[in-house]
Amino acid sequence: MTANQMSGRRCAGLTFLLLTALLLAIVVASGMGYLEISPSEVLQVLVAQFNDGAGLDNMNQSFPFVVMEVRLPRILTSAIVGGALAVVGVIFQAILLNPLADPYTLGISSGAAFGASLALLLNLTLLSVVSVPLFAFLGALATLAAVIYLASVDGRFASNTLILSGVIVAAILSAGIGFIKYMADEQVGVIIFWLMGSFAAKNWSDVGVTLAISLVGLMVAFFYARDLNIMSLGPRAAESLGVDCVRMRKILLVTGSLVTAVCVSVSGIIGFVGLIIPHLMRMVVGPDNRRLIPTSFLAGAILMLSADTVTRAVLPAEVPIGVLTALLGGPFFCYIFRSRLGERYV
Amino acid sequence: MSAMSDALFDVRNVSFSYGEKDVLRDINLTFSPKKFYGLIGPNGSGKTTLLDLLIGNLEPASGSLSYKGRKISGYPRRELARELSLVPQDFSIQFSYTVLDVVLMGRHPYIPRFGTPSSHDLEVAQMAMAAIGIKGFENRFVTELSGGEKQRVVAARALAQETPVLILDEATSNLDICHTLEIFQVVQQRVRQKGDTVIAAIHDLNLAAAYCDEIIFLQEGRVFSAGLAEDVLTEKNIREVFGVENRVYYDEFSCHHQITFLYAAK
Repeated sequence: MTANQMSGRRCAGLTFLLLTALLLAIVVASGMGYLEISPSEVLQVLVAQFNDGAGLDNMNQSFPFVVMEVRLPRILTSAIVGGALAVVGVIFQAILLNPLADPYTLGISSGAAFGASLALLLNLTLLSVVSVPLFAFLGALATLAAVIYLASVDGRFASNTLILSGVIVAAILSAGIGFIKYMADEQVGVIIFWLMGSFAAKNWSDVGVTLAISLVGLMVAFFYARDLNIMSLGPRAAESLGVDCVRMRKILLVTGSLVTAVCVSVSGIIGFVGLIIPHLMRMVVGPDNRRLIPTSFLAGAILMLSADTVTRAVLPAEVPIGVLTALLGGPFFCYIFRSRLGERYV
Repeated sequence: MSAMSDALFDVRNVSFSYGEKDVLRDINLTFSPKKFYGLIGPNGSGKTTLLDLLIGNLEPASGSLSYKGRKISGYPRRELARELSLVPQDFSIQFSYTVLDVVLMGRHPYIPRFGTPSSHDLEVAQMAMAAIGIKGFENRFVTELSGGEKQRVVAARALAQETPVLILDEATSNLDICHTLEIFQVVQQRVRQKGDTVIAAIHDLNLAAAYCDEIIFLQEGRVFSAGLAEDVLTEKNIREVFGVENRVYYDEFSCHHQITFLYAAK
């Protein structure tokens, strides 16, 4: 099977290419902004971290601080969140047999946002004792359960019904978020800006949390990658091939919700990344989840990092990243939806 | 008693219900190896549910169900997947896998979690595709195939699973007569030559009469009649269960019984 081997080698090459592009993007983006720093100076700063700060004497003394404490945490957080959301998209699409499924279209992002807004509201009134990520996770899980319950008959659900119930639940949740905003009164700005999605003012602990959870998600997804391929035959056939669909579904849906919740609690609602990236990568590497998962993570990271750099350093004023991805991703969603309709009725 | 211990499947007092609705009631059956079994009955008589129970996708509400003397629920899934394969009736795939990818999925129970298909796996997949008449389809996308072509890909995938028991759930309902016969011939060959066992839910009674050694006739979740094809497929049984006036006669050209349907008598 030369065709398979060829595309296998090509896929390894592509993965390497994406990884290189990501590292390059991180270095270049670290230099971009109000204070311009050349890529070589960024590298000097990075190398100096492992070298007790040696070799930085003939450089602007604020560069190391700007790179290490201001830009890099934000850049890494955006890259990790982008990659993680793309992988969650892959997981949801495979497990629900629907190429239009992602945390955003299923309403899970809204659920996490509702939970997080509630936590923010409580924090405004009750001091900061409520954990935003925990509330986001509970909101995400409850929403997932509600969406699946709405869509299923006798434990089975049709995939388009699932998107519909996702939309319905998300609509209710956004009304709920509106109510929370109303309750927040004068402090409403905190919630609104956070909801629109932003990577501004991220620190190294944000990087650590998102990285840890994303790695867990990535490993769980990769562990089940081949089972997810089999799953595309439908649950009945997959079970007859030895895949424990019920268990796998539970584990992956919970994992996906957890990753989504952490992403949302760090950066607000950022939609459509989980939809666009897997779709694009599927066109390049094919539907095999063993290839789709790592390449989607890298591509998602590059996309989000680039988008965030554009809004941070290129645009005259910072546009919330969630607004930017929705403006770009929404029309793309329409395009996929439309072309799939075409396939079905032609 | 020796016949009992030879049984492949042993179904004892099995019942099953979806919520309030009883789908199967007190089923008692034994399936012996090296036979072609046909499962017939009107829509909603419980054929698919019985097949799902046999393959371990469902667990009986009561009663016991064993395969080779061991409870089906006691088998690890992968081990069961090397014993039983299923050709389902409906197949809608959303992602553009190639035909070869899908047929190779039949080798899933033999490939370690992080492994890739061996040359033997590829060989088995190629042979299955040749047997089912889809050689040359390897690199076509399943999303671009017609319903009938998809159905044959699914059948090839089940053949590639190389299980001693093959379960077909109205596997040929989308196929034209030539491809239907092709699949039945391939499957019958597996019974005659390799000693496999086939259990097939079949809508077309003449197809059942032509290929099955034994027939299980279900009516409203109960076994109405079971035994040799010519004993079960009688004018009286068909009239009583399907409510169709009919004639059954021996056909000299095909050398098996033939049913002619006259009119719905209900």
